[in-house]
Amino acid sequence: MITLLIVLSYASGIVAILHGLAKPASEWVAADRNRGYWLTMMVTGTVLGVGLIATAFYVVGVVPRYASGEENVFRK
Amino acid sequence: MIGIEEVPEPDESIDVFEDGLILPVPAGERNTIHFEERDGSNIQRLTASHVELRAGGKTVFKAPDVKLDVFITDARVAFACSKFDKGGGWIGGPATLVLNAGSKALAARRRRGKMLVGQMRFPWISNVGSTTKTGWLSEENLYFDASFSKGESCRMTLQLPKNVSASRAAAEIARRAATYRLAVEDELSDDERQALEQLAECEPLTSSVKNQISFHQFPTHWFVNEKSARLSPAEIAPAAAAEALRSPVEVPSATAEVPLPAAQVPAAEAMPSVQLEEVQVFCEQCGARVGEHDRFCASCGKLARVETSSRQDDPQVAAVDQTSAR
Repeated sequence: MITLLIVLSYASGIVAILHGLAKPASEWVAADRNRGYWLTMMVTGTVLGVGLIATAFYVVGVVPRYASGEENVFRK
Repeated sequence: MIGIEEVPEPDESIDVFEDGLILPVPAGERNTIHFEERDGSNIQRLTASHVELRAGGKTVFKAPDVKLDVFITDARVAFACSKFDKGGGWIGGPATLVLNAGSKALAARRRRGKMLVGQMRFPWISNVGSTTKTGWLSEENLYFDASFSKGESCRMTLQLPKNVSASRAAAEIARRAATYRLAVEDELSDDERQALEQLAECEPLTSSVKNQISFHQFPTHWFVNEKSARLSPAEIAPAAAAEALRSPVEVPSATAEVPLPAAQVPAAEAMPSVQLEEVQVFCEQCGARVGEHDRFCASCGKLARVETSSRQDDPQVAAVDQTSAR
């Protein structure tokens, strides 16, 4: 059980970090969230074994704010 | 150009054209403004994270680390930000959680009912440029140069996300601004018209040098004031704006202090609502209308002068590369 929790913690943290990295900078700005701060927080939380909590903060505090389907005509 | 404005109440009557001459009128929704008829329907929306206004070599306004919604319309570039004051910033032990929460709550209270808004109307722009993010210490920035009066220039900077091409945005703004000016200005010289027509078809400028600003230069531009803000295409110009623009106040000399006598005004240019013996005088500093017999402007207190054709001629037509000041 504890092993499962630890595995989930690391896995969820890694998934959340990868999800955040995959989002372009414009979506972070549109979400009014500091990309560097949140990625650092998630990496730190994952390394310290509280990836589940860090992921929960990310899912609640950032993911709903990502712009959905917004076309950016000036995107590189 | 940039300021914090109160959001009008839903039942408050507003004249979007008159109230939004210098600063856009905030709308009820977050990060939105009231659009004018001359803004058109093709409004492109961007997000910026930083805005700065420099004038006289000093930073007069700065809003870092905010979310600005930028609107590129057919008449201007405008932006709005509801959460311009975030609070927080406490660092330390467990007490910082409480301090940050309190600071954020106070900041929310301070900004309630207000919005950070700004705009750069196309007649004001003398240069529009960009830098490209090529490494750690460079950013995708948009630059707008304008002037409040002769010798009083300013630069507004918008920082875009790194995956957005500032050079493409600058080119789009230059094209729209040139098209707008060709549509609203009747008295363009052949050189000006040719330069604007070239700008109306310009391509994005790029530079491989870090932090080097690539500018699209306009041959002439208008000072930032209410009169130039009223420039509109004839088919959608409000009656008041059309009257203001047709006021006969152009004089050949920039130093003239005496209003033109009514006899020099061609009868064909006089509006029905303006008596021939009434000379329209505008303050050279702020553009506000001054009474015929007033020596000083009631708005800013400066000596009232007859406003010249407030366009600043620039001999250079081609885009010029300039190094950004860091």
